[in-house]
Amino acid sequence: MIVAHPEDFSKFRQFPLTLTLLLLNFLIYFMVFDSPDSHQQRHKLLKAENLILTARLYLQSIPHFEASYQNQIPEWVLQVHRGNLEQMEILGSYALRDNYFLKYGERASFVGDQIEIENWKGMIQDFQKYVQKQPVFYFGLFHESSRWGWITYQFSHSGFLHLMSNMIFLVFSGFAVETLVGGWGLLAIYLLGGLAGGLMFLLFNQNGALPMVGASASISALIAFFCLAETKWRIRYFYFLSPVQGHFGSIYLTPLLMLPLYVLVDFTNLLAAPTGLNMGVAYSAHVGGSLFGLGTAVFYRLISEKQKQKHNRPRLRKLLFGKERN
Amino acid sequence: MVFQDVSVDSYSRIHRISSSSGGAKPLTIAPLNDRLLAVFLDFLIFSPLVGLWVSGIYRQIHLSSLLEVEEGIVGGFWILYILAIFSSIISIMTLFLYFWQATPGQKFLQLRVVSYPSVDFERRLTIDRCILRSFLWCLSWILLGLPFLEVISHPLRRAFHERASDTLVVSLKRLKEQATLELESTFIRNFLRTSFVLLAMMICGLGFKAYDELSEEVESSQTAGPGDNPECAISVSENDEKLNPIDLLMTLAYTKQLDEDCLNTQLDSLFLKAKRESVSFAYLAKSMIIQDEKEKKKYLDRACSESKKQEKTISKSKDDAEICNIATFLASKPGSRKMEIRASNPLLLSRVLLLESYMEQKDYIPALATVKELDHFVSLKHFLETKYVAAVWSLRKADEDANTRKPASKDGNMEGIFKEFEERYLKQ
Repeated sequence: MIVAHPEDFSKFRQFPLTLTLLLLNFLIYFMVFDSPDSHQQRHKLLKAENLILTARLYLQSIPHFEASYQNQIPEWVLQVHRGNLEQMEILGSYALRDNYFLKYGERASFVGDQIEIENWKGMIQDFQKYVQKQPVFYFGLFHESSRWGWITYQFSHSGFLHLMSNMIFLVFSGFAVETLVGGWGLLAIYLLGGLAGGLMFLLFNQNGALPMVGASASISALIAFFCLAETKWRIRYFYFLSPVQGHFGSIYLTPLLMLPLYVLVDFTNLLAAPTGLNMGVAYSAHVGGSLFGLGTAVFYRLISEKQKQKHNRPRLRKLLFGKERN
Repeated sequence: MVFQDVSVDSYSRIHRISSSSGGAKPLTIAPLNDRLLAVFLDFLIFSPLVGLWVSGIYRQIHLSSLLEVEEGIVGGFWILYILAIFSSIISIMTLFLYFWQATPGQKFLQLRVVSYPSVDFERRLTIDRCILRSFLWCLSWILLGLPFLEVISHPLRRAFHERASDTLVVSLKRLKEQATLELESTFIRNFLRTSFVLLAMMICGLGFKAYDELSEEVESSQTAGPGDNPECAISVSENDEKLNPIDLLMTLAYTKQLDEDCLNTQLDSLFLKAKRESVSFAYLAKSMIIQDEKEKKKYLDRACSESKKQEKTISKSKDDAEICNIATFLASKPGSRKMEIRASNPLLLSRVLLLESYMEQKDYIPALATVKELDHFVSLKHFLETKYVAAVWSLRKADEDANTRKPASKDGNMEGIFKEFEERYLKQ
């Protein structure tokens, strides 16, 4: 076991912006996402039998899609066995996230059990109304969201665990980045990293019907920035191998160590998960945020190098000429 | 401050200078906890790197298992995956050992891998020694990491991969000598021997089990026909094969001998054929598994209207003319309904419904005659037996109880029926 272990928690109050962001995230979650209205019953369209029916209709509609859109459909969709109900269920849940299909499905005429299909069309309309009632729809980011969605999604979380996991990382990365670049710098990286993550998410989910929420893209940007911006720092970690003396204690490691752990893992997950089967995690947004963070860190290093050179120049002149010019 | 700048480079440089500047300085063998921590850090650093490298293969495995591709192909992907993981670990480790004399984890903990017995900090390890060490390190993991236990028992804390590659892990820190205790050493040696015997036994057991499973699979694949789905299998005799398959499907659905999922799959293909004669049958079959009365009525009406459309458009078929008749029967409440057959060669379902109708009307003699008529359909065996026993039982009860109303079919050959029943069931 190895965990980051700050030396003095009382120093944390010196980072007002990180604490403000933290409070804002908690406040929005408890005011909007944890309200009694948000705990609605699961929609009947998400039941196994209806998902299977959705999958059947989805397979029927694919040949009628526009050719340009057909090319975007993942290969595995066409390889699903119609007789395998488990596979059809997965395909059904994928189809419900396909905005193109949802719009097409309402007006299409399908071959098959017409009574069932009419019922399904009713359910689809009902499902879309149900989704639009969810807070995620107002605060999340998707193709048809308002301009505010680009900002609000960065402060919204779908569940308490989602919120907590993001906030733990925000605490550690936020304090470190605020130390380095100050409050305004932190805010800029948080918001712009979120925008970069959102952009990447929309690029990878061009017909995604479900909105994205979460501060993870912004936090990925903060972590990536911290990993590369100041590599000479050391982070204190606590390790525990066994209760024997000498088998536990503290160790100081470079922030670069976090680069494979937090940044590369997102790239790996993005590449390893088949399209449309990413288990509800927007890895593309994480990658977008991380790329922005890395880019900003490189820029930061260049600027700080220049500042150092500027700072050293007068000294050089002093050495050469014995006094500084005005 | 929360984050400190505690660089380790300065210390190692001083140490190297002092050691190369002469003087027989005793070596500090890397302590156990530092080595464990180094392995842990290596795992944290290597796993995302290796993961990124093999992500493409993992994606294929994920897809293959989702789409239930042939086991051989999935197995092939798994072998490729494991080989890719090991080869990338060996490559990364070799590079680090060759250029740094340490893996990243060892570097953080100021450990170095040196050649042994001729220890020289300044000379690089040879590439073949680095490859061999990395390869055997990976091999030790395949053996459940048991060879690593020698780090505890060996006096110089050299595990199998280190002894084989003539290397030793030393610490650059000035540490107190931590010699291995004799008792500790003996315990680990004995534990290792026992573990290897158990591991060998486990591998043999797993081998036998895999062989058994494989031979069973081969046998079943030889007996089963291609495309057979054992979950949806129904016993079909020669007589059954002469029937219209949709008729048989509907009858099995009515007699509840077909799994609902299997029926849905079959109906899906029927609906997709989009032929009007199959569609009306499909609506009828579907009504049999619908629980909601309103929905059921919708399906029955649809089946009837579809068959009427066919009568108008296509040539009139006697089978389809029966659909409305069947739908009307199924839509009526049990007990009050009566089935009528006008066709000369009726559907199997019509005949089954006729039997049901006789049973509901307590008209047992014609019911028994219908059972006899349908007796040669193997797939209905269970359903017919139930009806036969119920009919005979009711007849006997009515016969014994003189006060009850005598069934309408009392004039039949009762004695013969009871005798046949006894011969069939009681004399076994």
